[in-house]
Amino acid sequence: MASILPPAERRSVVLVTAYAGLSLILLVVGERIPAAGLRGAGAALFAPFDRVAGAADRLFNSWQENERLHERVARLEADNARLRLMAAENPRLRELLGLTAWRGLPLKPVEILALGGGEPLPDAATLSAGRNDGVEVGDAVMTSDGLVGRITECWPTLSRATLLTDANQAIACEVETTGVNGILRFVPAPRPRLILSAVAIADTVRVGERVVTSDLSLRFPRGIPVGVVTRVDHDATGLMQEIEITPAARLARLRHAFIAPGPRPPADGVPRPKLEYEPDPLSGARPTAARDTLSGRTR
Amino acid sequence: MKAIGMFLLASLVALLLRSTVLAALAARGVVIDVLVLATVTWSLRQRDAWGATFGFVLGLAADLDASHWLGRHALALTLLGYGVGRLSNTLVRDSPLTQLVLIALATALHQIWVTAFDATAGVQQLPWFAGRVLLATVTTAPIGVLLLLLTRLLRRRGGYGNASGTSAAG
Repeated sequence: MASILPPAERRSVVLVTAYAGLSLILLVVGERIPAAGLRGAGAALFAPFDRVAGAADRLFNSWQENERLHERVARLEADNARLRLMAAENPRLRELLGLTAWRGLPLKPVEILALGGGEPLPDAATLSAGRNDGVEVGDAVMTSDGLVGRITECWPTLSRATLLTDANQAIACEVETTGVNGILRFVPAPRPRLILSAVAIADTVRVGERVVTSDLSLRFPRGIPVGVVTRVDHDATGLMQEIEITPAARLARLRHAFIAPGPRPPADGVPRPKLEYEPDPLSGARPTAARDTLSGRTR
Repeated sequence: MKAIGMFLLASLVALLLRSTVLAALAARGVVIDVLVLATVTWSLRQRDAWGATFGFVLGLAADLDASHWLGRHALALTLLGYGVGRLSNTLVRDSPLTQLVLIALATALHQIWVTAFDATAGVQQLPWFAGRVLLATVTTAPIGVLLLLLTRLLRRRGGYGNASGTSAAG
């Protein structure tokens, strides 16, 4: 067919066939191609522009955000005063009960440079810290409101986090008050939403209850807020519950986040106690602290 | 050389917009398909070979930005770039109506293709599927035409020319 076309058109046909063929090959084998290096180069290339765009966006929204933060600081200061009183007696009570002391979970503040991936909701984010800053693949990413995702690619000065809105992400969670366990997943259709699945029909879950990361999670410290139950329903089989969760963190409007260390394989092979995320009553700020619990599993 | 510079600049701007401002807008339900917008604009101006190349490069960059399905955007935008480039030979490319129809068609096709990868089960997803495609189409097409008009006014020159290839813009 190409031979009956004029030379310029023939060249276009050959070109488009080559591109389409290459795209089809990528569609088939793309998941097996290690694209992290390319993504890293892209992230490094775009980082300065993303910083400029981010700065402009922040400047535009700074007035409104400032008002909101003032209000929040006032509320947190009141909470802080109350928690300080409780913090004074807490160590004594823990000592009496023979519980281990609180231990801080180191949190690294980072800037969200760009959101990418899915539409309409982003499923990945480029962060302003990388391997040189101590960030590693598997670290948890959270805001002061709650869990955002997890580091999946790490470069020297930048990293990439996969957000809760990635349909391939599954996180072991529990209902804070009752300890009911389930698997958190993102369902893109018919309506993009977070679902807590695999919850036994006999378990009682109520609208408004908070959902946090579970001790069963191999990837996240226990107790990081994930969201709030907004709807409780049965799944398609009618044998399990399907619980809709509103995320605690504003996933579409991320500017700053914290990176918490994820499970690292112990150098000596001895299992470490699992870290648990808890608000620190001494500092008043969240998220700041953690305590140890023995999960009894090797990470 | 100038064309390559423009090529890189247009790709950069489209990708940057997509990962910053438009990502926040999309999460609020306003999906502006900047990839299609850039590809159609480029193809109208530079015709089929460059249109396909631009679509492929832009699509591949967008695919790398996503976590899965490498080649998804690249394939769709290559074909759209080529198709619009070929059509631009037979159309009055300066006509806002032509641009509106082209952008709307291209956005609808691109969104159908992309959304199909997110669809996981049966016909109950059809309303969501149609809604998403329609929303992206009705937001992208008018915005695209307005941007093209604005660009033309700012440049104070003619647009893309017509089917005979007499482009005032070159």
